[in-house]
Amino acid sequence: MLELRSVSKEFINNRNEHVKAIDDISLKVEKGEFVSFVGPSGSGKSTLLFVTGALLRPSQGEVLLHGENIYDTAAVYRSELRLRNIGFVFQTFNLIPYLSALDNVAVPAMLMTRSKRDAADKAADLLKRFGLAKRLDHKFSELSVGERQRVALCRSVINDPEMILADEPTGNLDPGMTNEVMALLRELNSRGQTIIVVTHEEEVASFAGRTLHLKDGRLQNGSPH
Amino acid sequence: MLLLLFKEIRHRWVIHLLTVLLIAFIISILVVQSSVNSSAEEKIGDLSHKLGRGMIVLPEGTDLERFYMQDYGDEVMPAGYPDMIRSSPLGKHVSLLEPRLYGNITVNGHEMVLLGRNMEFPVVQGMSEEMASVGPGVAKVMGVGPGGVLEVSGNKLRIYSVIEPPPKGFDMGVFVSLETARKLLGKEGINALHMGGCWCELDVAAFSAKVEGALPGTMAITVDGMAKAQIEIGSVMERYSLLFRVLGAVLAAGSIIFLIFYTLHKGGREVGLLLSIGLSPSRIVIRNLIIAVLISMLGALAGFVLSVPLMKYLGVVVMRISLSPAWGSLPWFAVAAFALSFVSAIVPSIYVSRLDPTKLLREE
Repeated sequence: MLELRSVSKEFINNRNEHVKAIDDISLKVEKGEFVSFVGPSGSGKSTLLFVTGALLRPSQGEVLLHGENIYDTAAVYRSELRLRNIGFVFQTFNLIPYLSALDNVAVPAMLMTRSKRDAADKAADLLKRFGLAKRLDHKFSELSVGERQRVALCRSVINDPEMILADEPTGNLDPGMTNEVMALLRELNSRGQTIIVVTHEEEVASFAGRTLHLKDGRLQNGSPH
Repeated sequence: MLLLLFKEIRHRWVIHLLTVLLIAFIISILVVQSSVNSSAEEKIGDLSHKLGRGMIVLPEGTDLERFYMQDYGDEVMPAGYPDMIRSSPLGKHVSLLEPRLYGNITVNGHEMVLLGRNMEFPVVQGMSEEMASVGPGVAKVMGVGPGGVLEVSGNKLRIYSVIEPPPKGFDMGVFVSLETARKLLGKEGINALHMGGCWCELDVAAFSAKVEGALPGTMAITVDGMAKAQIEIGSVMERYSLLFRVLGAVLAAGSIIFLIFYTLHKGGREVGLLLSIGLSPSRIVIRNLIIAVLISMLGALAGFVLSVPLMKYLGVVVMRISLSPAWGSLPWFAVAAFALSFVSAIVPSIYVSRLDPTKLLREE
């Protein structure tokens, strides 16, 4: 389903030096897989996730989704791809502070269906499924850390994407919440969704079916599937 | 997307409100600049029919327009002012000097205009104290005629005559002596002094200034004086019109651009998030354009509303008449505000839409 072919991403740092965040990465992820990338801070995990998620154009290489290089397509197509096929979960949740939990979850659905009522119904169902039935109208500041991440998870799956990309999804959570969120990701995976998680915690990575290690932008045990 | 947009505007209401107010202020100045001349011309044309070549001296603070609409205030000036003018060096230029005390009264639920004036004038000539002449409207609604009695605030006035036709606007007029008017209205002094003379060789505007100097707490109104003020305002507005317009456009465009970058500064992560969840760059541009146009249109409307008291104040201070904006120009200002906001928002909006969402998402 997803294939990275010799993908590198180079940045220019503050001292005007060229730095490779990820270097010559090739891998394949099959539909329905649960893959984790583990590595220390600065190893290029988030960059790899953003490149995979059609958010950051690689300096070299190709990212193929269903055989098509997503960076050969127009920006508007990549936006559509992110809207319909990819769900993002972030360490810092990135919820919109002035929206309720319900509206936060409904935003991607509203962008797709253009029907506020359908989007809200779908968001409410999801939040109820994730144990947040009593938090629908709560704003970001009124939610606990674990609840915020569950809201973010609901937002990432509302459009039934085939792939969920999670960037340190448990980075701000205590162990109890970590297990809860990872169990939710595993549940989504069991329903057929492809999950890719980047983390610096081996314990979190252990929830995945396959773990790949990153160091200095290179896959340590990585070779195409 | 509209829901998101309105919630964002509500969330950052202070900066949006400040931008609306700034644009409103700019628009109001431009409205004043463009309307003052035409409004003044119209008003002066209207007043010249009422004032003619004469002069009317009123207590300072009198609203001239309300005065001519027969809605009289509480302002009065000393009863001795006519004599002061007559005995001053200005007196030799004045052939007509008529003090009056106008007031509004209600008799049996009917609103009437009371006019107290000197007894030697034709309308009330031969009439004595405790007598009144009335307009035909008063005679009709009160069912009185010559010899009848009209009771005003407990004072019985014998009707001397019904004036047919009445002076213009005085169908519901009650004409009495100055003394009677003072008693009925409970006021001392007078609230109008009509003056006339052959002033062909005088600078009437300068003459009215001298009258004001001789009679403290008054304003001397002449068509010439108002016209002179109007010409002065008109020429100032004309001289600086280009500057006003350019400055206004730059300030309005600057405030829109500032708003977009301020919103980006405060909500960069939100933009990053929206891009990452699939909002296309073009929709980010449209979103910013909608906000810019909405804010500037609201600003234009508020600016027009704000220009009403501004023009009124300017008119009263400089020309002693209330001016009002030319509402016909509102659509033009709205179109200009739309175009300006669109043009000024498009480049920064495109810039914002092309920002790297991954960097925005990492912003603290």
